[in-house]
Amino acid sequence: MKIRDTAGDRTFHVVNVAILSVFTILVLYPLIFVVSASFSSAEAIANQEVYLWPVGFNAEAYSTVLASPNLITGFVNSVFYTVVGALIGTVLTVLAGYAISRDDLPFRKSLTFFFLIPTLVSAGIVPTYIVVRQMGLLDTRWAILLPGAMSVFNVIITRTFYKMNVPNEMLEAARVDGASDFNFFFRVALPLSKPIIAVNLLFYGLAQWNGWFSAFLYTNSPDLAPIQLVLRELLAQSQVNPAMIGGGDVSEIIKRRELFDKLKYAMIVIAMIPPLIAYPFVQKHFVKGALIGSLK
Amino acid sequence: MSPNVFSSQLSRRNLFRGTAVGLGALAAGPTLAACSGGADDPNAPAGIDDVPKIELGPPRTDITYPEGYVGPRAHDRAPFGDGTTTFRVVVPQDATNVGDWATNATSAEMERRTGLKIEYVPVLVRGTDGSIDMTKINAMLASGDLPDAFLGIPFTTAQLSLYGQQGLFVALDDYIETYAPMTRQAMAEYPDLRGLKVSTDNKLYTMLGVNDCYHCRSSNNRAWVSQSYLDKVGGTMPETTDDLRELLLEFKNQNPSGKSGFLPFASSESTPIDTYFMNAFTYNPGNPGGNRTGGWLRLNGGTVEFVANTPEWREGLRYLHQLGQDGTLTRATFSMKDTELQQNGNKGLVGFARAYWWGSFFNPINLDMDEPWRDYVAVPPLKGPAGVQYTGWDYYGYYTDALQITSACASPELLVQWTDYMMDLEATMWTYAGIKDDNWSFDHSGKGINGKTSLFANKLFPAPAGQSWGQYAVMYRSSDFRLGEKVDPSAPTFEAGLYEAGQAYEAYAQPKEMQLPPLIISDADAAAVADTATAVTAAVKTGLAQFSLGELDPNNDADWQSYTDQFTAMGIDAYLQAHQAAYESRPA
Repeated sequence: MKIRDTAGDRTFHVVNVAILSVFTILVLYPLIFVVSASFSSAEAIANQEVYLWPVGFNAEAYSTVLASPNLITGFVNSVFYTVVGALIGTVLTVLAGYAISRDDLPFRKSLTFFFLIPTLVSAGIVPTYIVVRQMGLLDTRWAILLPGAMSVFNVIITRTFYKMNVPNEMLEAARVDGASDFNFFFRVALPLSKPIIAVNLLFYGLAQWNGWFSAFLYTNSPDLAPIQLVLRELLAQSQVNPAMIGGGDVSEIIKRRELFDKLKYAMIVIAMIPPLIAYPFVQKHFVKGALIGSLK
Repeated sequence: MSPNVFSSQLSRRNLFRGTAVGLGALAAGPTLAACSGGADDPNAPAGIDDVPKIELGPPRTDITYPEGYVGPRAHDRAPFGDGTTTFRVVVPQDATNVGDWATNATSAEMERRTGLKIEYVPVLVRGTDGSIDMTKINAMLASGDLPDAFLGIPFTTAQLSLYGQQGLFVALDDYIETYAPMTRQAMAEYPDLRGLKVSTDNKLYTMLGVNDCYHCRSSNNRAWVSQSYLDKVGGTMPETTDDLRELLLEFKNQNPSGKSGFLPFASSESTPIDTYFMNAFTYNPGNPGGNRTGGWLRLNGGTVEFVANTPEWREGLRYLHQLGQDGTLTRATFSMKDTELQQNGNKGLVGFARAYWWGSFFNPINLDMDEPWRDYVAVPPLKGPAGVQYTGWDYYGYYTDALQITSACASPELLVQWTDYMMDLEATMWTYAGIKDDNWSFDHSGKGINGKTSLFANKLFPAPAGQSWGQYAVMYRSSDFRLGEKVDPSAPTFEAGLYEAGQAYEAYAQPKEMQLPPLIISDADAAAVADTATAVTAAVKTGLAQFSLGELDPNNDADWQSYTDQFTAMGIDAYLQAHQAAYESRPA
């Protein structure tokens, strides 16, 4: 039998739907605008004629992107850095986080403090550059993957997660059953840590996907550049003001400006797609992992 | 003629010099001045011991130079590198114009012509707003990760001076004296060139390039008016400040565009308007910004002076205040974004614009003959009520970032020759325009931008990515060279139009003695001067807007007093003294 909603329930639903709709529009509109703008003509964008749907529909921007070797290489590189960086970071973080979560680890407090030092004092660009250089990593993919491979923030979250979800009692029970430390970690602790692994993968993956600074500082070869650095360069070149460079030829400046105006929205769409695809898969773990880990 | 012919016969430099000067005089006239001028001067560079001075052979005969031409010439020069060493050269990253430096067509051509193998290390030196970002260059220098040279990297003269005296960069005067005939020619033809880049210890830690853009000398002082709107309101080209005021009122009252949102006067936040208007009251250099010395400073009989607190400046503010009262100068003038200005231009809403060029208020912009930007003509400098009529003319803006050789380089003489070769006419054409005959050719069949016989013609400019070096090479693009570009009268390029615009201003250029040349502030004063410069810039800009928009009244003595007092509080006196000291102690 159907129970009729009371007036109060109905008001609640209306208000609820209205508020959520506003939020949905706030989130969705920029995405729709960017996609529409990426299919619009340069004139329409320059004159702000695009509001919701494409004006002067064409896919020229995308064909220019596809014809540009830098952007393709950058995209492939970024996927590589994201996947490998996420794996390296997650492995290191889970190992470190689990170890310092165990009460029976000797010097646990000192080790934790040691991890925290870099969050309090940072060495700065030049010393880090010297370290990377002396290790022979300059202009290699490792220079993008290894510095900053592990984030202390993530280690702390992971440590707390293990404290909450893998209590001492569980360890004792496993010991009674004859499990060694490695057995316990691989057969008990690790299977319980899917949420925190998902969170770590997402955090590290996103950081690599959005990162440009390591590549900018430590690499020179265009073949190693991630997409964000390629985009940054395109943006930087298009912003050069003729008054800033003596003797600039204006036709060269226009060329840069036109290319950028043409490509900017298509580039945002392309840079946006992989995180958008990845989010739904990790999202269900996200709330569990990040919140449980950080709050308690 | 190969210079090496002499090396076996004569080993002593001084003996050689006499011969070389004589031959040089026969071979290439313009170098004579440089050599004979330096001979009696005890400070003249001595050159490299025991190495015969390299002189240019006779210029190639297949190229006809316009009458009175000053600039690069083409010479046949044999490769001097044997390819055994590879030099690491840091270059700016630019995918749009240069593409991959390693596979670039000009890189290959330069290697073929000079025999020198170069490993290019591209570095991004611009931030996302187009400003200079030297983070990576600084990390390389500070960590001792030195390449052999830096090409086209925007070091300031203060940085060159600092790094040079720290021993990171090699002093090049003697190398230039011995190995760089084209550079010596450019230094003779542009006598101020060395002084613009020389360090406080009177040594040169950089090679010298020239990119002398005629219209850029007045680019901060140009304004444009729509000819068709001018005709519609029955106006004539304004000549005085009063004429302009009336014209703007006519624009406002009659709205010749017939559309709503018409701007009688348009400008954007990144465009200073004082450089145009204040020059009708007193010479105002404005704030050239970037790596140049402080803004609104000029010379008065050798004394450094601040302009923006003078009585003449107040007169100018009174005029702008009037425009504000008329409602033709509005808040939008000071706050409009560059893109908004372009949108207004596209819609035909701009009457009179203070802007660098047409592309500042049209986007996209192209060369079709019926394009609306062609309707906008340059407005010559205005004559003020006291008869003052200046345009801020930049006498010192033609140097390039060129090339610096570091202490890590084992054979600086080869890189000096490499750099010098880039100043050859044909090499200059290659580096900036790309592949010969595909993109450009020598062409004497028409008229150049300056109306003389043309020197070359561009078929495809800018060159597609991967063919040229953009503007990063050590060029010798003298004014005559740039203006020797052939113009197609049926479709004149922007450069041709800008040349004509520039001509409207040159007659009103301030005397050269009034412009403060670029200076290097001493290390002791540098931080304080930079702070004061920032405060002064903010105060002048804010004051200009507030007085113009009526928030302050230039006729009110209290307002004016508090405006000028703030400069005293900022330490303008110490600021002027630091500049005066730097001006007086600068190496001549």
